Amino acid sequence: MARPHIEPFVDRSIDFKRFTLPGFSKGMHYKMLSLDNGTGACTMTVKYETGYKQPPGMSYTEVEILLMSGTIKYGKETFRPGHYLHIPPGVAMPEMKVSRAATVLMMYNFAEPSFVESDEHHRLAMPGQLTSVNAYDDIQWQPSSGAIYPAVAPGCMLKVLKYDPLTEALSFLYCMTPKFWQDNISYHDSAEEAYHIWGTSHMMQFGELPTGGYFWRPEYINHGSFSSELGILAFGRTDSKLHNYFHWNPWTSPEENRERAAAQLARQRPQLFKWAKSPDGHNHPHDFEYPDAKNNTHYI
Amino acid sequence: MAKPFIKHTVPAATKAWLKKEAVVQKKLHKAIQKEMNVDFAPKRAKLYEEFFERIKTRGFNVHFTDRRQITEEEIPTQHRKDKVVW
Repeated sequence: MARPHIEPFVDRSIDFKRFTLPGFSKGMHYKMLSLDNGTGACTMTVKYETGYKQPPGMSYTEVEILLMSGTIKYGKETFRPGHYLHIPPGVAMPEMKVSRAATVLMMYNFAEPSFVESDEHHRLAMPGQLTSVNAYDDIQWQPSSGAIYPAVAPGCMLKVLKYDPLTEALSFLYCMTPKFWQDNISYHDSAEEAYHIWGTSHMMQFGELPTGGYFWRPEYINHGSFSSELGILAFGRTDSKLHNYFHWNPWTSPEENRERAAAQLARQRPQLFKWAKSPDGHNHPHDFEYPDAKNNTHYI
Repeated sequence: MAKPFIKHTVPAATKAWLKKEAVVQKKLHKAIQKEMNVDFAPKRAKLYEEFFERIKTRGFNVHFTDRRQITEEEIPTQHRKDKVVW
C-alpha cells in the first residue's frame, strides 16, 4: 500500500505529538504529514526542544532533513535554517545537540523511522553519499528550464538538493516570485510531495496552500493552474523522474492521464514501447550498466 | 547507489505506532476527499471557467516562456463528475 493522496493539508491545523519510538531521545515532537502504511515510510514536521540530545547513531532507511528554524549541532558543525541533510541508510551521524528549539521537515523515505545508537557506519552503508549543505546560502536558484522539459513558467525556480542518477528522483527547494502564474494543468509519472516553508500559493483544484501547507500526491493526478500573490519558499520531492505532462482538461482521471503518458512514450520511443509491452509478458528490463539496480534502488 | 533501506527487525512498539498513525492517516485522507471533492467543488467549477477564459485569451503555458492561445473548439466538455482527490 502506498501513501494516500493528502492534498491539501496544513500542519498548523494540528498539534505536535510526543515522538517516543524506541531508540529516539525524549524531547522530540511530530506532526505526521503522510505515511505509507505498508512500509512505514513517512514525512513529518518535527520539533526538537531546546537542549535535546541524541547520541551518535544511524537509521536503517534513507533520511532527508531540512532545518526550518532553530539551531542544531552535529558533532562540531552547527547547522542553521536552510540546512539540508540527505543521510543514506546505515550512515552514522555524530552526536546531535539542539541549542535553540528547532523545527525540521523530516522524511524517512523507504521504511519506518528508526534510530540505532552507534559511532560506526553499518557495514552496508555508503557514507560517500551523505549530503550536507545549506540550501539557502550555498546554492543559487536556477530556472527549471535548465533541468526539466517542458518547464514550468519563469518565476518558479529550483535548487536541486538530491538527484538519484538511476531513478532521476529529485529533492529540491523551490520558490515562486510574487505575482507568479502558470496557466496549465500538470501531472507526472512520479509521486510528488511538497511543504511550504513560507508563503501562499494557489492551485485551481485545491485552493490556497499557505505556510505549513503540504501535499503528497500520487502519480498522474491533475494539478494546476498555479499562482502566488506574494511568492513562496518551499521544499519538494519526487520518487522518480519529474516529467511535466501539461494539458488543459481538468476532468481527466489518473487512468486517462497514464494512458496519455503511455501514448506519448509509444510515439516517441516506439521500438522500446513495443518491446516493453510484450504481449507474452516475458520481457524484463535489465541494465548491463547497473546490473544490481533492482536490489539497490526502490525503482523496480 | 546506496540501498534504500537495510533489512532489520521492527520493534513491536514501532509496529503499534505505525498501526495507530495509519488509522489517523486514513481518516485525514477521507476528510480531505470530502472537503475537496464535495465542499470545494462549486467554487472550483468557477475556477475552471476562469481558467478556460485565460487560456483562450492570455494563452496556455506550453513550456517556460512559450504560450499559445486555445480556441473555443479546443475547450473540453465535462465527461465525468469532478474529482481531484483520489
